[in-house]
Amino acid sequence: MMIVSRETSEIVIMNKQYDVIIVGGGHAGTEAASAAARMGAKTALITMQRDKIGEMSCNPAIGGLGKGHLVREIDALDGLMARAIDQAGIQFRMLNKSRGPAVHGPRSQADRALYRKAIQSLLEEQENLTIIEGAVASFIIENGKAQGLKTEAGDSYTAGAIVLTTGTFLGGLIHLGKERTPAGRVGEAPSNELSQALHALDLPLGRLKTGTPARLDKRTIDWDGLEKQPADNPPVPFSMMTDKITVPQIECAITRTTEETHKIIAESLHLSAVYSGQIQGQGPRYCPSIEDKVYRFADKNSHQIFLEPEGLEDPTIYPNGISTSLPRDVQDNMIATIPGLEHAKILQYGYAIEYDFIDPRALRRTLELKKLPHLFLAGQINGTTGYEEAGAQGLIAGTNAALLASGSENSFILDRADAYIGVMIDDLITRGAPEPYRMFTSRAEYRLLLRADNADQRLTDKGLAIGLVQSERKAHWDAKKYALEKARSLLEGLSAGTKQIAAAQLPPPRDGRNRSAADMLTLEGVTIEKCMSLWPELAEIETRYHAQLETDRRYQGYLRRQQADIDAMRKDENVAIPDDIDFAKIGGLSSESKDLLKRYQPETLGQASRIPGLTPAALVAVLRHLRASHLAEEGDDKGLSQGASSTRP
Amino acid sequence: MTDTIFALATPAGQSAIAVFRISGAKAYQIAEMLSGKSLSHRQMTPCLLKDEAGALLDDVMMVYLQAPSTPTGEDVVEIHCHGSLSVVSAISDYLSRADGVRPAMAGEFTKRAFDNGKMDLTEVEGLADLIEAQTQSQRRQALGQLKGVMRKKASGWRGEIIALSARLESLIDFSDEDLPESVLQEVRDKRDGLITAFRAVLDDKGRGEIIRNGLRVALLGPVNAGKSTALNALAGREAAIVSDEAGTTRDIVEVRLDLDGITVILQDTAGIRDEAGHVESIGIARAKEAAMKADLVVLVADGSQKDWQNEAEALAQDMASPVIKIVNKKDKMANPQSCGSFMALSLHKAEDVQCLEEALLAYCKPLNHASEQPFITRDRHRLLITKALVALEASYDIALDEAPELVAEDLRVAADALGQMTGHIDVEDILSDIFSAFCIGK
Repeated sequence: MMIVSRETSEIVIMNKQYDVIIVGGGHAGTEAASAAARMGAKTALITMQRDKIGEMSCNPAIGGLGKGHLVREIDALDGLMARAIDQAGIQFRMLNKSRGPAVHGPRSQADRALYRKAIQSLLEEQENLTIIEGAVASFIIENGKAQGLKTEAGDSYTAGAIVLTTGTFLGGLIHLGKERTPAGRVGEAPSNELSQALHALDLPLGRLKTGTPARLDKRTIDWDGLEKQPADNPPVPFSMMTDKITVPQIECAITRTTEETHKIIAESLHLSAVYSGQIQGQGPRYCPSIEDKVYRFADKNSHQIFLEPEGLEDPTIYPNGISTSLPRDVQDNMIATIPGLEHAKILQYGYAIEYDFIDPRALRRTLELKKLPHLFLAGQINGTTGYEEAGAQGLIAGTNAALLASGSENSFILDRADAYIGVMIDDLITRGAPEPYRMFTSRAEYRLLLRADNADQRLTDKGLAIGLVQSERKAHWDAKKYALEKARSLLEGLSAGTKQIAAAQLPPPRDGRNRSAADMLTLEGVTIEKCMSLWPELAEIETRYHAQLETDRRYQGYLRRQQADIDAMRKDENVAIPDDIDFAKIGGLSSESKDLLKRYQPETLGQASRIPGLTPAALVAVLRHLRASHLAEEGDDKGLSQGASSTRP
Repeated sequence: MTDTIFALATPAGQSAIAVFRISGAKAYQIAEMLSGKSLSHRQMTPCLLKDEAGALLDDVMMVYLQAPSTPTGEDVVEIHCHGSLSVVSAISDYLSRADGVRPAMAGEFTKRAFDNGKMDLTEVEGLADLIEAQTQSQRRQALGQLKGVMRKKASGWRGEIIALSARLESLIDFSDEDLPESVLQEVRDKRDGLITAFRAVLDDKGRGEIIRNGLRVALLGPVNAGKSTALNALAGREAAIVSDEAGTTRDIVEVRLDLDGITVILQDTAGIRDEAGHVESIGIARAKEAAMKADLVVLVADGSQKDWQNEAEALAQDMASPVIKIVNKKDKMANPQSCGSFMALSLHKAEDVQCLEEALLAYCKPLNHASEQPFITRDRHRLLITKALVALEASYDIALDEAPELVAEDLRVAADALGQMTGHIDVEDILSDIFSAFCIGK
């Protein structure tokens, strides 16, 4: 398993050798570390402050629409996030509950301290994992590959593969009114040496920004008269390993900005870092600052604000909806105009932060840098936003780093029909991040297939196959899989005629033919429960599996239609484009197409097909070239190499 | 590497000049060989063309267009020669003999242009029509498509379907946001709007296809009523055998006319009679079939027969297409003034033939001049619009507020179909629309 490199004579150096080193202890770093260690790699996690591991630096909440799907997928691959939030969630809510199951979005507000504690203890329990405090200063590069790193304290570490998850720490610059402070998070130093080391690698860097609102003191808010938003009862856990949520559940409150608030903001726009031209980074359109909202949607005279507690004991309230970079006095005045917040005390002022990110088009599907092999990037450094997006990338990067370090030929890649994780990574590496990338369900073209409720059915076996899933989850999953299979064959085996069906108060088939219980479930409003009077045997199926089985049947027609699209997509995805291809030599390609292909360096024909601006004609030319050069090499017509998704090029 | 191809780019037949076009990597080399001169990019050069033996073929102008800024994206050479048949065939023979060059297959130049990203699919289709355009009107429509009459319309729909998807997706992805209550209604309204628009354009009575393929006009009537006379008079030549003996036209005779820019395919059919021989009855069956398929029927009654009107009315009743009714042999009629909806004519007289032609023109004119409204001229477009329409209609069965994700699936099918005409519709297009329409974000 272990890659032993060069001078290995000294024992001191031996101690500083790892299969995989993870840099950063945020949500990407912790998932990467856990994944690599689960894969059996001797793993080290290097972070600046050990006690900050698992910190929620922005709004303490996990999940949401699209994001909840990612959390379930991380869980299906035995990751940490779902289990941690189940131990730290203080307001579980299933978003979109009134809509169909494909777009249900599990979300929970988190107690920040409990979340940190949960993550830290999950990492402590993990075998093969060492946590090291330190700030990384530079990389050791040999033969064009990342082989290790040095810390600011002067220590050297060698590794078979490195995963860099430095979040917004790269070139971080905080804006508060006209003030500018270099920083990662408030009160924490940015990683400037590392930033310089990365600049030295000549990677394509970009700049993004994001912002946070002022944090308020719970005890100074007038809660009476504010609209309340309760937690779901009972709360639905994120992880399939969690039976029941035992953390006490709280309410959030909702208030709104007033015309007075808007007036203050409009008058002070020129003082905002965002509007004074001080910030160059592109901010997310789906998460505008309150200045943005007031300026761009001037006809809207009020915006809602969710008052979300940061913990059970913590007096901090996160007023979700009013992130700002206005000066302190303006923030004070603005907050005081909001109902319930008239006397609210600000614990920490809102600010905007600009940071460097690396254009993710520089990455392979494994999240390894094309230009610097053995160095993987995950999380916000790749231009994404959100804990869930970061964690999901960390899991993929950590897994692939472990595979690479072990000398394996395989890589672990999920495609657009496997998982939201696959959608996200494909989006990132083919389109880049013109704004901070966030998951939405609308990004997933196979949305009815990729549900939060079936993440384990889609992914756990894949995780087991490469050794990413540990025994405890395997036992859980085996039991569930068996129960579902048994239930499905039961549903398919039971059938009845028109009269029996009508007698059971169920919609009778118009063609007079018999129907199986499985057939019946495709009909609107028919449930397993309702079928029990006709088929009492159905009582054998555990209630907790009902929804799952019903949903599969309900979407079946649509899923069948999508399968053809998925097959076509996978056909192109299996056509590998070799690293050493010379696009300039492909006949029939316009120079524009050549430039695009050279810039994006797609790994598969499928990925090439998603490059914005690349014509179908160009794809045909590439395919023709691949086929011709393949024939020339092989001297026969075996066709193109298949299974590109599981083999390193 | 692809072959170098050549073709005569001007219509076959005698003309003042003819143009050959050669496209491919060897185009320049061949031009040099033919002319013995070196050519400059985009510069007309007078040359004396000689064959292998040094015999003079023609005195021509040649122009070299260097890749990639050429119609096909490859190196192109054009030879502007004299348009005599002997010169054209001599040059064509010489090119065919040259090494590494071959005559182009139908549509091959266009295909190369497409392969090299010189045009998109609708442009290729428009160009194919342009090449085939035989009449003014066909050309106008084909050009219109290239310049974007159809595309303008379709890109409007594209915008609408993006706006519709954006509203629907906002109900899914941003349901916890402060969305205006009107969104659900906007989804319904926009969907209805698109359905109405698609139905309207599909229900054009095939006008676009008529312009592209020609208006099929069937001459139908009893034996010896003068259908062939009408055809010959309109065509100005003896296309069908005309005699006074009943049952001369046993099969269908077609003549193509250009009436005010519209191609009219005039079909002369066998006369209808009850006691026909076997061969003739096959002809009669075909006549009725042709009339059923025609865009327009000219019903020719025989005014010399006593019961002409009842017999002709019975035939007219079976027809699904519009019918122009005429009664021939006016001079032999007892009472040519009372003919009901029939136009009484003597097709032997030039001025009466003129009347018939004017009736046809009156029918063609609106087809030709309502060109502001784009028509569907390709079956592919009709299929795609139909697919989009069917998908949108299917979504009516689903409760919008309960299962928007299923409505969104149907919408995705519709957007994909439309995207195949107008350019792919991407989730980024939809997200951009959401973020510009609604204040999203906590």
